[in-house]
Amino acid sequence: MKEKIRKFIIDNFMYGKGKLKDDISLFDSGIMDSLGFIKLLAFIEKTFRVSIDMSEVAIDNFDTVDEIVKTVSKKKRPGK
Amino acid sequence: MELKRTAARFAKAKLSEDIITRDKICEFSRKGWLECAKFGLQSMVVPEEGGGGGLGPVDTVSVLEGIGLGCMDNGLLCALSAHIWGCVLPILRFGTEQQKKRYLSPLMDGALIGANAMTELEAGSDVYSLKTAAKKKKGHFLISGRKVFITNAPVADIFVVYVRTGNRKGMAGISCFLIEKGAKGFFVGKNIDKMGLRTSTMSEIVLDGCRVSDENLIGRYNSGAVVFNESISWERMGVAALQLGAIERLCNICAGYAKTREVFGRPIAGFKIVSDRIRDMELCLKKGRALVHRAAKARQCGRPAFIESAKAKLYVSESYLRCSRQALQIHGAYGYMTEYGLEREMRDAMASTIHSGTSEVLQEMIRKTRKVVR
Ligand SMILES: Cc1cc2nc3c(=O)[nH]c(=O)nc-3n(C[C@H](O)[C@H](O)[C@H](O)COP(=O)(O)OP(=O)(O)OC[C@H]3O[C@@H](n4cnc5c(N)ncnc54)[C@H](O)[C@@H]3O)c2cc1C
Repeated sequence: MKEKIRKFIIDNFMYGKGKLKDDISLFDSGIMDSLGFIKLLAFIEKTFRVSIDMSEVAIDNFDTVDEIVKTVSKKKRPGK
Repeated sequence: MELKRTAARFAKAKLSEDIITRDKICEFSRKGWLECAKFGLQSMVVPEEGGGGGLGPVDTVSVLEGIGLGCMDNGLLCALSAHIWGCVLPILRFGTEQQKKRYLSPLMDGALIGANAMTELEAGSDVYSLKTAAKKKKGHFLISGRKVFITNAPVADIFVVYVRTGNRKGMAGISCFLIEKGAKGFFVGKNIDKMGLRTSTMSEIVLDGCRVSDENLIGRYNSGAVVFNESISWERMGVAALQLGAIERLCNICAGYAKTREVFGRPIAGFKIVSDRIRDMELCLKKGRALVHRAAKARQCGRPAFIESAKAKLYVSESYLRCSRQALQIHGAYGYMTEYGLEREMRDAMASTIHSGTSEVLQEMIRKTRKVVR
């Protein structure tokens, strides 16, 4: 899951180049803008077959690769 | 179709009174506002169990298309859009139970008017560079800053305001608050005179250490951008639906006029250039309708429809401007006269290419999504 997410971010928001550390802030570093964020949510829903309710979204939960993995994993295992 | 017809009939009968005079003196129609509430416009997207009309996105755009077709008071429709998409929707989708209980009912029945405040002097298209900031205190926030071009501000009771919370830059450090008119440190400026949509009101607001309770936060802390994205995306679709109706109205007016206005001994509809203009308007309507309905269907399937809505808004607002110019031209000097209402339509249409995302910004956004998403 982590690699898929990382690859998506690098391909879509970093022109397919460079490295992306697990704990770098995607928003503070300027990698992710508002449109990118919407693309990311759509990618996550499609790839990991989870449904994201916008009213529950906290931006901090999508700020780093690590946070995204944590958020998606939680979504895949409801109740845990 | 029935929804659209009913809405158009209502709008034609109730919403266009004295429009020429009111446009001249920049008068917002409180009477029209209350008629809209009675008809159920302010409440149409609220679920039935919450006291609303419970319309889904597809039915919502049909109603709005009908309203745009029947109503010549585009300023009133601009005020309604700001209220529904900028205030009712954020409370409905992101508000706490307490906020919903307190505000939704009066926002639906016409008693309260809502506004949303995002734009700042140096943060228009680049919205997430906004500087209005909130300092966190115990149980409340103190907000300072200035918001400009706020539709409904002079008449609004409730404001949805986006401010920076914390030190982060960009969209990550923004929160959304509900602020009531009359809050300490909250000031509303005078109505601003503008080119079009003159029957809607607009002013700046100033927050000078405005004290806002923690309970007034809408959505998650530091996640106001999520609220804004959802609100603006609905707004783009809704505004485009209203303008589709306006384009249809212009088509009808022009087709009728071209058949009856005789020049050189025959109706102007017989001149190819004139009939081409009318066909062009009808084509805009057809293409625009397909885009708006695509966005509505995407929403109906549970997708945010962000890009679909941006495409619909871009195409329809530019088409509306183009069609209003065609309509004026087809009417010759009569079109240029205030009495015919077409010069007003053109002034109103100009605004639609600027608010809710300028055409350039939407073009840029759509261009970016053409990059491959793996
Ligand atoms: C009728 C009306 C109602 C409004 N109501 C509200 C409201 O209720 N609440 C609210 O918060 N705001 C409201 N606004 C403000 C509106 O959202 C802003 O005017 C809009 O976002 C554009 O910002 P700006 O005017 O500062 O233009 P700027 O951002 O300064 O843009 C200037 C020009 O540069 C172009 N431009 C900017 N960025 C790019 C780019 N990346 N690529 C190409 N061109 C670019 C723009 O398209 C424009 O032509 C309203 C505006 C109008 C006209």
